[in-house]
Amino acid sequence: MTLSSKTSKATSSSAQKYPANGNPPVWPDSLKAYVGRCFASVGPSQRGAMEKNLKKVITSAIESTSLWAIDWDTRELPLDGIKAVDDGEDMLEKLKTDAKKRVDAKSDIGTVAVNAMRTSPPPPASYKSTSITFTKSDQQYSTTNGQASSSISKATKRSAKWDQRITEPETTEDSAKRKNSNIEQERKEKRLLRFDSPSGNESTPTPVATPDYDTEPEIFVGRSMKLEKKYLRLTSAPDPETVRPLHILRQTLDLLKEKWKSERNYAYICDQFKSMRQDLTVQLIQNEFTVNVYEIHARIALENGDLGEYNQCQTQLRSLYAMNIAGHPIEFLAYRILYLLHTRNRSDMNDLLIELTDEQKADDAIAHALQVREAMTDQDYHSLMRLYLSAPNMGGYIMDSFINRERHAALEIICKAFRPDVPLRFLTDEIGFDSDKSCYEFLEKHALNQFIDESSLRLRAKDAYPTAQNNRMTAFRKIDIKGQI
Amino acid sequence: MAAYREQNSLTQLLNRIAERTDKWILPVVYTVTQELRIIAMEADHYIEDRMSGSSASNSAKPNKLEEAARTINRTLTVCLNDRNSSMPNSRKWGVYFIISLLFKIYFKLGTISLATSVVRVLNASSAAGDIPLVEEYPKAHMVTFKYYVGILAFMDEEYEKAEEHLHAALNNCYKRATRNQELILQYLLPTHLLLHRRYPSKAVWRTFPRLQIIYEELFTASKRGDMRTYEVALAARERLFVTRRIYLTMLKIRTKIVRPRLFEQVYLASDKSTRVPVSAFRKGLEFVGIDVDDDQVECWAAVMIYQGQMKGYISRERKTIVLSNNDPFPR
Repeated sequence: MTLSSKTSKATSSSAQKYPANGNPPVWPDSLKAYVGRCFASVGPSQRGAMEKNLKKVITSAIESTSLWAIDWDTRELPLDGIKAVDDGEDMLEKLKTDAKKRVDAKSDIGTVAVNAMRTSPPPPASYKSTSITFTKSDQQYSTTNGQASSSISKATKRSAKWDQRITEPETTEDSAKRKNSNIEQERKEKRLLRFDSPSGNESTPTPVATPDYDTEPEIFVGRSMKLEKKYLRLTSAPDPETVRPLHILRQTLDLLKEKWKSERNYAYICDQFKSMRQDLTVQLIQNEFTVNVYEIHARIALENGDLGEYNQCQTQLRSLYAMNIAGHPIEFLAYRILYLLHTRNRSDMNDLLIELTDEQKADDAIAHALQVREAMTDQDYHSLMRLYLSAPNMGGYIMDSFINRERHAALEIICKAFRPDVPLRFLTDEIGFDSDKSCYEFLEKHALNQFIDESSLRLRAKDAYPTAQNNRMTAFRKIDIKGQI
Repeated sequence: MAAYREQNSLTQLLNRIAERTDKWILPVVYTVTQELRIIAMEADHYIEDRMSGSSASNSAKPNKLEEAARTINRTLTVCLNDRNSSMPNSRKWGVYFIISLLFKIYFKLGTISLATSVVRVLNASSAAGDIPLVEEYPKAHMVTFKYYVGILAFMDEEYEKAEEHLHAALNNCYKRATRNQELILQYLLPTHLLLHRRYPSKAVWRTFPRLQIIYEELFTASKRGDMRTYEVALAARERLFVTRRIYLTMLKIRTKIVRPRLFEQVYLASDKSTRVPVSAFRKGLEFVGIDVDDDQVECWAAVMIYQGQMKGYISRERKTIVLSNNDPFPR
């Protein structure tokens, strides 16, 4: 979790303007939303830390008077030092310690608020909006845990702190603003009702920003601690409770690698990888780990002839590599060439060839894939089969998907050109089988064994030609319909 | 940059105005869209220069031309969807000009798939008889259009179709527009060679010295079946052919034209004997620097027989290729 908050970058486009009447609204709306997002992104146990980070960010913004210049909508969340650790078992434990921590943090913030008030604009709204946010989550939290008492006690502490702030001098703008803000007043009353804590809060007339809880925050970190998860296609906004954060996903990957080695259950592994990819996607995690996950999934999919899944991974990998995230772009570029041969996508292949650099062409795997391409367009089955048997990395698995098609093409050519017959031995070599037996089985499966002379083991080429031609036409038609898988 | 923004919004406005007018607006549309394309390219150059100046590589790539293409695509729709005016006054007369402009942009951007989809849209409307035949349009529009459609077919390895369109483009091309003729021939010459084994005359090389530099050596080598010279010449021009999307076709010429020619030379060298041992062909290949085994030679021969460039059969038993008595290497 090292998403660090950048130093404030002023972007004029998003800077809001002060109202013409000279009474600046206390905080930019975008900041309020930002604060809301910050708190929605962390688990209950991390709110204290988040509060500290936020305090730093906002204070520095005030000090550099860039509060109105910062584009809060696109600013990264201050997740420094925040771990999304949140285990169900010691929730109660954490609740207690957190409550204590929060009290400390609050007294800190009190002084920050005081300091900040000396510079302009004054801090109450920000402060309020932050406290609101976690109060709301407190409530959710305590309700789920039957700890209503803690929320009440916190509310009391909060009012004490508010009192403290009220004793500080107010700016005139602040009070003027407050008088105008009937709507805010209403909202605040609602909030008070909600917390059921009447203790003198009516006398703290501060505008309140209510972060919008209905819209899902753009960036969030999951809180699920489970290593394994079944893949379910999302039909609504993701729920942080079921999404695993990055450090858990790392453990998941290790576990899955182990399981794949020991159990080799593809259906299970594929499902697990899909859910991992989903968790990465919804949390907008795009780093070397993401690349690693996609690469491993792609390789496993290849190994199991699951070209559809492989293609999904490859598509993602292409855009990840384009972002210059480290991985194995060359290896996968070679796979892509082979894959395009499988789908016979000429225009994409043309585009790809244009973009190839000399450096890439010098790579063994790429050179191999390009030779395969050439052999296929030339119908040079002899070279093709040799390339098939010597494919580097996992290229052979992709070639598996089209090699039968090419075998039929080769058989047709052989039956057309050779007279009177050819030995089975020769066929085995020329259509890329490792034994006469598997070659014979292939011929048998495609009704060509009837043309083999049992005693001499030779194929009568002329007689076999019509069948071979038929086989080839069927094999190539199928892929025409299927096209891209 | 500002100029680009203005021109783009001008075109967008013009699109809206054109919706309510008929043919008379077209000259205005032509000028504006043409300028938009040029200004957009200028803007992209400008952005690129500025980006290379500052080291910031994270900023977006220059994409003004793409944006311009979208605007002009909108113009095309406006021209196509003229339902009000009668045909002589229709905006539909602008269709081919705008399409050609779009082709230029798409080829520049390398987004060939977009060009193909434009063609598909157009084919749908011309099949429905919604727009006049391309032959009825001004010749300039037609030539450009045919040129690009020809190249698209060429890249898809639909050489017959490519030949047809490129021919039409060449025949209607203004006779002094030699640069345009040269561009058309750049694709038409290899197409001719591949389909009919027809070689250009000396006059062609004289008129188009640039084409001579690109092709003459390759064509001569192919005529003589000199695979080694062909390979070397091809390697030297690889970059050029790849960017112009000719490279794959030149590879095809190598296997479909040059290699059979080499086999024919071997046949002639063995006094037109109808039975030529496989090893003789292997030695012929060795002579031009291609070192392969007999099985590879048989495979190549088999493909040639299969594709009809050589008549005869291979005897695996005797390691001999038996050629037809009558014209074993048909033209």
